[in-house]
Amino acid sequence: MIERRQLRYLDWYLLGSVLALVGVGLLMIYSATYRGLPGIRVGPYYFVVRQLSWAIIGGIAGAAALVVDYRRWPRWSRGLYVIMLLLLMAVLASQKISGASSWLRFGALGFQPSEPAKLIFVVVLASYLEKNPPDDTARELVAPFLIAAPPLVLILLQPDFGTALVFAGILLGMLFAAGAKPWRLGAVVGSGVLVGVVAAYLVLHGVDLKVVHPYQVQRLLAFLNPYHDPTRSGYNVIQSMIAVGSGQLTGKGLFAGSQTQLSFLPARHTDFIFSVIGEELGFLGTTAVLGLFFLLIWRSLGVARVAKDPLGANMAAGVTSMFLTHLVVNVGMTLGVMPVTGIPLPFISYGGSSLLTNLLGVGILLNVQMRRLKILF
Amino acid sequence: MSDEQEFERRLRFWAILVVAVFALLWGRLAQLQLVQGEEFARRAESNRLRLLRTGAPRGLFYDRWGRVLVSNRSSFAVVIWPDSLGPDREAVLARLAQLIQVPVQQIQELLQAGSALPFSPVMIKTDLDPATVTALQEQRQDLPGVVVQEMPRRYYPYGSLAAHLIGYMGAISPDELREWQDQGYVGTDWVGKDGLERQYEHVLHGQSGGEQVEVDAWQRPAQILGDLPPVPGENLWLTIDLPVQMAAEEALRDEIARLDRARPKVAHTGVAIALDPRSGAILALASQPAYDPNILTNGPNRGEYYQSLVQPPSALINRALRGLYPPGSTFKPVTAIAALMTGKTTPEEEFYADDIGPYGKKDWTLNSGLPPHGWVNLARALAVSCNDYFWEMGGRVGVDALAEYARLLGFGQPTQIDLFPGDLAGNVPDRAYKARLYPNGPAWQRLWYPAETLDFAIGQGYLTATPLQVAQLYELIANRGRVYRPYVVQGLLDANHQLVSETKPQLLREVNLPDAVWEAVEKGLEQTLQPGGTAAGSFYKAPYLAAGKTGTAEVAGSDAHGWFAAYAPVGAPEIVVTVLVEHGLGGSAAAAPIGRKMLDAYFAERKDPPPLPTWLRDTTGSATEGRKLDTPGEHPQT
Repeated sequence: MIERRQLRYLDWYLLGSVLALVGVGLLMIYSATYRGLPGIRVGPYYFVVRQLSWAIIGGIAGAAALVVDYRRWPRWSRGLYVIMLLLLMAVLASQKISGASSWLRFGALGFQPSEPAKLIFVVVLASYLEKNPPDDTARELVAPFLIAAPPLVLILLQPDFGTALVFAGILLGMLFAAGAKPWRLGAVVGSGVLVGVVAAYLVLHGVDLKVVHPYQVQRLLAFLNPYHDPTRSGYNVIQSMIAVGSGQLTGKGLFAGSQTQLSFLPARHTDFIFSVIGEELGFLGTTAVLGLFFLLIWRSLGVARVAKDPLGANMAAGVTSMFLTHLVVNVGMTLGVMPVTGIPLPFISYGGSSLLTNLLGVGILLNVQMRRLKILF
Repeated sequence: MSDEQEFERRLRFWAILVVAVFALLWGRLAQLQLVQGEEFARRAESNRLRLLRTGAPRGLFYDRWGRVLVSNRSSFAVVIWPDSLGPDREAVLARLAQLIQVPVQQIQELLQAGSALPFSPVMIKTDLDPATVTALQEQRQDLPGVVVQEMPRRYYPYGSLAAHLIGYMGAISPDELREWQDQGYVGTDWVGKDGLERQYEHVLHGQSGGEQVEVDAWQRPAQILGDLPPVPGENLWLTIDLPVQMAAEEALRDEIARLDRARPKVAHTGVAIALDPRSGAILALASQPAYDPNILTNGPNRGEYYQSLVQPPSALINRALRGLYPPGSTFKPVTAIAALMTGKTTPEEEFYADDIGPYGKKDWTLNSGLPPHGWVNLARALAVSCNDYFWEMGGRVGVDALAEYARLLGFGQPTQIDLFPGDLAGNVPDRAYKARLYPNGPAWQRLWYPAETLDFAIGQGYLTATPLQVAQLYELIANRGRVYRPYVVQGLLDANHQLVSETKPQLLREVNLPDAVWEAVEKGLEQTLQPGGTAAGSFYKAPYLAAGKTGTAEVAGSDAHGWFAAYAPVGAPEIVVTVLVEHGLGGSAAAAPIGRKMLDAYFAERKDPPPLPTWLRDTTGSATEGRKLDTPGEHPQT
């Protein structure tokens, strides 16, 4: 349980930056949705209120994650791993039935298992790496990859390329933090990229790999030259870049972005919410938000640094990797330097599963950080 | 190195990575928002702002008594803004294709052809039915980039009536666009292609207005930022008299149908013209076969329809202005005038017509098994259309004087009517013409022969004229030498039906001849319609006194053309009619009855005038003088 003393060790910079990001998110979601969304007729506060409820639920869940000492978690990791795989398979099964996307539906409630799956993966991998640090031979890297493979395959089958990228980011970040030789990781990344490039080339030149459709590859690679097909695969990237760029230094003003308000921007309250910030708040706004993220990630790294044991450091490294990959992939997408993969911007994009997961992640970080000193009884 | 230090090292590496990543993202932001910010701002504006053209309502056509001849009806068209189709382009096109019943393939082709200009809509289908419009409006959320647009269409309530005079419309051609784009025309405009629609295109078109509209991603207007109302086109107040035009069209159609049944191997066509000799105003102008401008302008298969009209006998040609025919016996008054003026005969001279002319030419009487004409004077020769008499006169006058008088009386030169595509000049032959005809021929071929003068004297041979020129000859006779420039537009009316300009009669020619000459000719024309004359049968018990002439112009190897030209009432002529039935066999049988029906329609309306619309009752000025029904016009000469 929590000692009163431990609360004093809470990192208020980290917590403050998270609160600020959630606040910015609520504001921008309101701006993106108060006029309603294409094809959805709801009141102006519908999305904000839902996001706020999820923030509260997420806050409670994050606080709950603080309560139980993270050192007690590894004993549940097998069970969590099984639950994660079952949830991910359930998604695939429900896709077969209803043709839905990455969602599991329980009546009116929707839930994306791939979101918490990332955190479960962090805990499971951290537990394993604590016992088996990959700091010596290449063979030590095999097991972590085998642990990562099943969820990765299940997620790619959805297919959710963006989340798979995040899994890869978490895996690499944790392996690096746990002591793997950078050149080995580099070799793995390099060969992965090579395989991807070859596969993309084959698919685009008519070879049927059964796994992906050519249009998926085209969409993925549209950011390389969005003007090749500006009305289809390049549309999202172009509209997003127009939105961000047209914000210029000071932005068009809150609630006044034409790209946002007139629906030129796709998925404006979810995947492309950073473009809304860029358009309405300008370079000053995007700089401020990037600053908050920098603070968050910097302090997250700090948690890894001060963790009292490798388990805590691994967990902190995993959560940090998760935030960092999300940020780079999402913001990179809105700026036209990353593929359009459709993953949310942490704390800001509308979406309950995502917000809940990220706040839980913050809970994990604070859990580790709070317990950085050995407590003597 | 301890584990602790090693971990520190790794974290430092990681921190550098984080800083680098943020620096890259921040740099990219600076590039997009600061360096290229203005360019993106412009593009956001062009996303958001649309200048929607509001087409000006095109001017209407009214007949001389204010009856609507051409109007507009509202219709809906579906257009695509290609830049706004969004990422699900294929799905949108498939959905649209199903709704409007057009193959996706065809839509793709239209987009391909129409996307040359960026940010400009492509017309996909016009004339949507109301159910389709509703369906499109309901589903527009699923149809980004697809816009239903109101688009007035031209409507010709009388179909093919006066088709060549009215004309039709079509998409602006690249050449027209190049020439007119300074005047505000754009590539989706429709413009007049023939007749008055073409002649008065710039008056009818008006100035399109514009609305600067903020649109959303589906091109739905979010708010209107600025508005420039269109300036409607001006209306044409025509000189056409609807009942006379209708009578002409109907009679022509019936006669052509009758001939088609009797002589199925010959293509029959026809022209009927009526004009007011006091001003040159055209009262009716019919050319058949004609086309339906509704189909040619709006029909879904207008391309095929156009192709079918090109086939001979081309229905696209306005034969009244551009058909060249030997005028036949309708030319005889010219020969008569030439003979009188050169002193080669007198009105009283009696000539014995044995109906065998020089070189053994036989008159039509002998060819039809009738006795020869016997003793005739000038008037009688006109009335019974005695070729023998006019051969004799032609021989006496000679080709030089005959050509001189033909030109003096209006042949061989365009009439200058204000109607696209203008009229042809026809041909008045003379010695020089014959030499020109065979520029490299041997001398004998380039010579003019007396036998050719004889053909000329009876309106045959090398002489050709348009039906409008023949009508003008009878206007000249009716007016005793005065000819006005023919016109079909009485005035231009603004949107409130205020007269903005009017056509004043314009004297083209004044030929001063002694009264005795006019009287002699008119006497002959009068007798033509009286018992014993060639058109007597058609004018039995006519309630007005008319004077005229039939004509049968022989055509080598085919049936002769039938002509009729007349004016009425004698003494104070108000109307001249001219009828040509190509391959109608004879003027008396084919053409004169049509002329009778037109004159009847004119005088029936004169007796029982139609109610006037308010704007016409209020219209004053010289344009309406002599046109008010309560003050029937006076003969300008008296």
